[in-house]
Amino acid sequence: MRILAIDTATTTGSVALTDGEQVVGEYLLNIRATHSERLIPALLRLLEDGEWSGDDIEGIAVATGPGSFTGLRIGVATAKALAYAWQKPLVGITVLEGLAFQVGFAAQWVCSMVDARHGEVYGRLYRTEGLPEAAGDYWAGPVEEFLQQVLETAAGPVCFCGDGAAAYWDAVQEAAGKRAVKPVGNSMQLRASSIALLGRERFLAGERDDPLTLAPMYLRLSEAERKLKTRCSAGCS
Amino acid sequence: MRLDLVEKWGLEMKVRQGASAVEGPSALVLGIETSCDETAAAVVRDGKEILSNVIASQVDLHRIYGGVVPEIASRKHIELIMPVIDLALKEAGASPGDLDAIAVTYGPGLVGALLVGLSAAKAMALALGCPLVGVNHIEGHIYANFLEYPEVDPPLVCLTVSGGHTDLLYIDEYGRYDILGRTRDDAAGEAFDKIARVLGMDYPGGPEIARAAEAGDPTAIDFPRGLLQADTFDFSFSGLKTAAINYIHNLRQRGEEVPVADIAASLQEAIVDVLIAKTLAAAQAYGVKTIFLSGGVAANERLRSRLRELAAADGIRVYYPSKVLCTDNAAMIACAGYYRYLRGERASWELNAVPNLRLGEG
Ligand SMILES: [Zn+2]
Repeated sequence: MRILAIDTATTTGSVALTDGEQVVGEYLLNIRATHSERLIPALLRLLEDGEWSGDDIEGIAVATGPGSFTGLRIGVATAKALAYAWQKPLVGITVLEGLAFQVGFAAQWVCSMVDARHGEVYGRLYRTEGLPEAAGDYWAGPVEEFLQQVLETAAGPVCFCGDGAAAYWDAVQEAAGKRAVKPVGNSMQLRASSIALLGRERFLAGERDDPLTLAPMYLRLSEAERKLKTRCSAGCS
Repeated sequence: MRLDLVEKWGLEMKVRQGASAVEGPSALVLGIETSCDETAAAVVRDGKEILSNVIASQVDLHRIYGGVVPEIASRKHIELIMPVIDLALKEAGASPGDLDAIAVTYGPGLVGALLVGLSAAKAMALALGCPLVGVNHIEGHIYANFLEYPEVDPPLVCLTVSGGHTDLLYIDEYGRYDILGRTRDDAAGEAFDKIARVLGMDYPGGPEIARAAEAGDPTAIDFPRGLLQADTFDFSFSGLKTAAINYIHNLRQRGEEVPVADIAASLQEAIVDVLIAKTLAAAQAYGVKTIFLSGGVAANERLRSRLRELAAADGIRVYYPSKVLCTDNAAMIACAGYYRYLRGERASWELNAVPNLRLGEG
């Protein structure tokens, strides 16, 4: 099965083409330019270099989040519109699962973390035996609290990956000590090929998402909604 | 199809009578608009025939916040964008492959909101192999008039007024805009919204003020008319806003009753007076016999009727779009995009959202 995958969740953005379990091509950029400016040019270049046209694509996979709200929407809107116009099946894969997939060979317990800024992360703990399996709930909040939870649940060494792990490595080391496993740098960043290969698993299992309604996974309310909630719980009505 | 969404978000459909299925050699343009709190898509043939015009308004969603919350708007856009596009195509009886171009708003507006429509538009254009055309939102508002009155030609003077903009333009030919004046502080619609809020009215305030004004005396309170006498086509509404808010606060402090209807009528009159005076002066200065009114505030009855009346005395004709085309919609974007498409304009794949995009740029 030939799959096109897109990730625009963090400042790292990538697109990939996979055929079966093989990566045909992958283009990753970790620069300041916005995804809006670089996504379609990257996609076009990859299709051209891979000598693929729209007809060659059998499925589209997109990283749904968590990550930068705006970045996620650029990727998800693009993937949905491509799937709609090309009439191809679409599947959304979380960034956290994609990250765990990348280090599946390295450790049984993998903790994926995306930087949510100000000492907070989005995260989830997985057990990996080839493919990642969730071993806890999604997390959005202070990194220390999350680490404590993860270390209580997991037994033995835990591999910490994602830009959240990179940003708060000191906290990880302090909490996990010798149990902390740090992957090599390029496994810390999500690659679209991981989204494609996980998407393939999903497609083969007969699953797919609706290209009209697929939405990003934010794991967090907007600032305005949070403030309103705090105000209300403090006693408005 | 997707009736749940139609009901849930009040998707509004407007299909012009006589519009038939796609046939014959003509250019079909899909317009996409997500610059503020309306998710909209439309299919327009040859820049004048609206085959579909779908608008999903989020206004109810933002009401409790007293204004548009950008992140909430963006989240709603990403949910609605494809259902709205799908509905627009189905209403038009067109399939994606029938489209000749995709026109999309890339500014001005909320950056996160713009990016949803822009990303979808680029992907559609890429997948369908058809040209992508970037449209300025204000230009779209102007073209709402060309859409409705295709027989009217420049030169003309156009006043675009909404919650986000107050722009006075001279247009001597299609696609060429001279900005004569714009607001130096608040947009006219913004002044309406803010004062309405102080009066305890619902968001958006413009229509609420207009409704309240019907029962009021427009001469009851002499609110300031900013820059009315000044030798400029620029506008200023912050003085009026402050005066009105102070007036209301003073009454409240003294425990006196607030005459809402009279305040609304006097406020509306002050804003309308300035808008009309500047617009007529511009028409005279440039010797044109045609005035366009566009943007959300162009739906204001008082503005429409008084401008038409006063202009008629000078032999000037005033055009304004029907109400559905005054609000943010994608038919106007498709129309403006069609003329750009005819001129051979194509957007680059790197096209980005430009929140402060000005007319005549890019
Ligand atoms: Zn507008």
